[in-house]
Amino acid sequence: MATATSSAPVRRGDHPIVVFWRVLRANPLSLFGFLLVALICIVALIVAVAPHVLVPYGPEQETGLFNAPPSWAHPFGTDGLSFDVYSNVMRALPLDLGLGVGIAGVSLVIGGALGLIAGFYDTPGTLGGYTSVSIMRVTDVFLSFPSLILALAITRVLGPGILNVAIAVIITWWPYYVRLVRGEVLAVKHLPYVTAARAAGVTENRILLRHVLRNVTEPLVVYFTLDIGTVLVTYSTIAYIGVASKYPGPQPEWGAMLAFYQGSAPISSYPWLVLAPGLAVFVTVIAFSLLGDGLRDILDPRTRRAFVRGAAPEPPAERPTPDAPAAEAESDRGEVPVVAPDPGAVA
Amino acid sequence: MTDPVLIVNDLSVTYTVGAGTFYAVSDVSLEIEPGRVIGIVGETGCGKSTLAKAIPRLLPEPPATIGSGSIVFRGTDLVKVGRRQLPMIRGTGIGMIFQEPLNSLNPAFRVYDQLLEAIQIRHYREMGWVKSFQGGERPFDYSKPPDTTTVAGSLSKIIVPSGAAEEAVRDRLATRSQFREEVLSYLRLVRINDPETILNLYPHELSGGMRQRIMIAMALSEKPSLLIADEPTSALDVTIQAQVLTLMKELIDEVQAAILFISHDLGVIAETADEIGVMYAGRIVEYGPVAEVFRDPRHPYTKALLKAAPAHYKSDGPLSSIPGSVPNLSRPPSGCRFHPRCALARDVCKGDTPPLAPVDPAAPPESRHIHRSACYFQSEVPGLP
Amino acid sequence: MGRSPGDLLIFVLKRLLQLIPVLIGVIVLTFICTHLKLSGLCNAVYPHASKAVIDACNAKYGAPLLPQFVSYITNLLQGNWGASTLGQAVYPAIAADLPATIELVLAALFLMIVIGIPLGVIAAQYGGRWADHLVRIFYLSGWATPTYLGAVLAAVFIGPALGLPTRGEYSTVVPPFPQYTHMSVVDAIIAGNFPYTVDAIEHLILPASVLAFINMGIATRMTRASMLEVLPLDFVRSARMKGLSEFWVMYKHALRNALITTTTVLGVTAGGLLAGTVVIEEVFDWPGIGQYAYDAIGGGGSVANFDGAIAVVIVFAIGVVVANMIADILYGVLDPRVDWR
Repeated sequence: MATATSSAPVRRGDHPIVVFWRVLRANPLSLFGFLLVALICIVALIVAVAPHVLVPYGPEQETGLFNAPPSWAHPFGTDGLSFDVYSNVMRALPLDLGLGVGIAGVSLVIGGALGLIAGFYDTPGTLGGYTSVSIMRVTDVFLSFPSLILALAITRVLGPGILNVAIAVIITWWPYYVRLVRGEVLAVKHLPYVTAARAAGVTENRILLRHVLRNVTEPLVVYFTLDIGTVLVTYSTIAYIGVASKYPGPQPEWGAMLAFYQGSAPISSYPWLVLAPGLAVFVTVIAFSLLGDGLRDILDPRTRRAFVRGAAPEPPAERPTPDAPAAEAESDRGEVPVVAPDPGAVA
Repeated sequence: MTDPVLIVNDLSVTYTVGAGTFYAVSDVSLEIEPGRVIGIVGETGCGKSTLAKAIPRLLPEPPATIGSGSIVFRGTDLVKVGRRQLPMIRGTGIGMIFQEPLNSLNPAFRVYDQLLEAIQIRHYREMGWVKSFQGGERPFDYSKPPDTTTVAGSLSKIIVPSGAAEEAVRDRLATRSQFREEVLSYLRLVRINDPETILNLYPHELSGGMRQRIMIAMALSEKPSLLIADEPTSALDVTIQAQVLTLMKELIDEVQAAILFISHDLGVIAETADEIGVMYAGRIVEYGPVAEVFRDPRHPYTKALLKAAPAHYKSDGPLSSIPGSVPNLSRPPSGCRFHPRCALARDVCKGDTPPLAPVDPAAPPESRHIHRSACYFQSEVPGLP
Repeated sequence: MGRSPGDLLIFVLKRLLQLIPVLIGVIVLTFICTHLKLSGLCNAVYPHASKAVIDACNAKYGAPLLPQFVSYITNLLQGNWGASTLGQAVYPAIAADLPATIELVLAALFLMIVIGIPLGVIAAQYGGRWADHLVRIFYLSGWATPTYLGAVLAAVFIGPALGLPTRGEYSTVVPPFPQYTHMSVVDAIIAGNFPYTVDAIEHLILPASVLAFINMGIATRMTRASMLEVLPLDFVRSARMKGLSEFWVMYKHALRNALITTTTVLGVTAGGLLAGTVVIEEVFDWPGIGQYAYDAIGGGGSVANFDGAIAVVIVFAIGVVVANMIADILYGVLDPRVDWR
């Protein structure tokens, strides 16, 4: 495949932070996403540690104003129970963000480990081979279920509650990471430099840790970034359907809030009630999506070219290189980083 | 002599990459008359392929920019033509054969559909259904019967042995079977033995040589008045290369089109072209009739190239190479771009760019077809052993 | 090279055979997941039920796993999928609801194809420029919109603003013609009732648009990525050199190749589309299996229907598996390099 060559912004050997920054600088949408993610994380941290700095009212504290429209005192208005909507939306932020990161993180660890095993020890006929095959069979079956539906059914069995819903989502979530990591491992495993390492007598375990793992990290980070948003949407949908957390309560949650407000008052008269938690989900998810989507554009050789064209135009195809007089112009390919595949239907 | 199909005047093409600018083609001038074959030769990275793609405006702009100069194709300056008008020039006006036959055919369509598409484009333009180059003017005047007394006239008969679709042009739309017949005739033209079978195959089922033949058939079927062949044989195996080259040579004799033949292979150019332009670091450094340039190169770079060609292997002992390296085109050397590697270089070479001056001082300096060299000391270039 | 019609039949049959182990896996996994926590299950499922109901439930789910599984499978195969707490049989209800959901999903898929794919082409064509950024903001917005938010906003604000109906399949509860297929538009067409056909399409627009918008990202992103992969290839350049206009170069030569990969991803979106129907059908009162699932799972505080929930999970999983199989077959048809034998 004719990918862009040496002037591309991603170069093997550069420090990841340098690459990351170069990527962000070149793509305004990703930079915006990154700043938004940073802001959201800082706000969530402040709310979790010292809520009084940003949140004027308690979760079930009455303000005396019923269904008041947004004002300076109540930026998102008040609801039919006279609670301050802004305070509740802010109090939900650490929980929703934490669930997104936590569920995606646990899935990443479980799925990633299984994916590494399935991808790396896949010699047919060995113990590893059988393990690999069984892991993939189970994964395939899991991937047949729409995550939301299976998670809902499992929640039904485990009973409502934040932890139970989190477990239910994790049960449906890890297979995506198995598929991703295994694909990456298989792609990396047969690259010339890994073969060279093997030929040089480096042990298999060391290859796994040093070479393969390192190359799997990039797409995994990108996928994880996008996934936080998807998990958040899934979790809040389960909450919206009404089998996760309850609202009103000591710990607000966006999906549950929206469901409650939708049922409690006519939306067209009090639109801020629904818009506040809804937009909170939207903004959080789109921040992670903008960041992740931009990152993936860079790491995916298929789309990298467009990015390169937008940020820094490609070099001419036959640009001579000073140190290789009559060498083939195409000879400087092969520094393409590994692929970040599509997340598929995880919504 | 007939009017040139293509006149390139002082064409410069640059690439802007990040903060750097690459001067890929600098001040290149060319003229091609119908029926003539002009060969451009040079090392990888000398800008010859950029030149080939710049003429039909095929370069992505940006990063490429046509900095200055004009590309006058049949009276129209292509540099000034809008993006939307470009397709009208391509195909029936300027045809092109690419270096990479493996990927140049669309993998999702059968050979037949791809050839048919080309023939239909030409046919609809001839019918005046689709606006074509120069406000609907036909690329060729088919209303006159072919004049068999001229070479060009007799050749147009050979090109379409059946002439089926062409017959139909005069009064009505060609039928399906006429199109099919014409597709077959072009496959036969490129010496494909079993065209009926080949028609229904997909590109991945064909060999590289076969694909290149089909590419050639596709380009010829639109009857371009200028055909650009960009290293048409370089990507093929040596044996296939020879076959395709033979075919090209035969077709060159049959086609009335002006041909610009790009190659890094001196031997290929020697066999096919009437005139040769030697490119180095984006400039034409020597130009002239093939026989003259090969017999008596008047530029140190051409001399070095000829010496490095394997044909001289036996007589010269070890294969010679040119000292130094190809310059980085983002910072080209001042003056003559070859001076850092040139044994004849003196101070003047570092200062001003030498003009492409006639080798014979008595020749009219404005003629573009005589032997010229861009070297201040062209008379001092030693002859070939 | 085997690509004759007979080979295609073999190709399709092979895919159908591959379906069987996956379906068995789906059923086993559903059984395991829904019988994970046996102690106290019945109290969890029916928190406010009478003692008799709990005892009946315990008798059903308290038994050892293997005999339970055997009876579960036998019942499933016999079409006896249990009944809701209110005594409504699961299988007939699902069979009646499924077509409406299929109609909704197909309508959304149609919108994803006619809008999402051209958007992907445009984004690729202007890669890295403002058109690309706009398209990306558009599909990422869909991606980031929770289904419930999109559905509620569409039902409350967009629908009334555009004068589109936001509830049900028709303006009347029961249409004046027999519902053979249970697909609103198809039934109206079969009946030859033009006003009702228009009415049915109007009712379909909002839920299908929301469903499509939310799932648009995958189709658009994949088209964009495959187009970006295809555009630098040599055959695109030769198509340009033939004299084809940019439109034909893009939408005939380049897209035809990009579609090969996009098709497989459209199969993958089936999961997202089906999951989306749960909330969308509830909000728009669309009488499909999504709404049934919403109720069965106990959404909005409705009485839980455990047998129904299990059935819904299996049906949705089958939907995903079949969609992937169709995409796989389409891939084989679209890519001439795939050998059917």
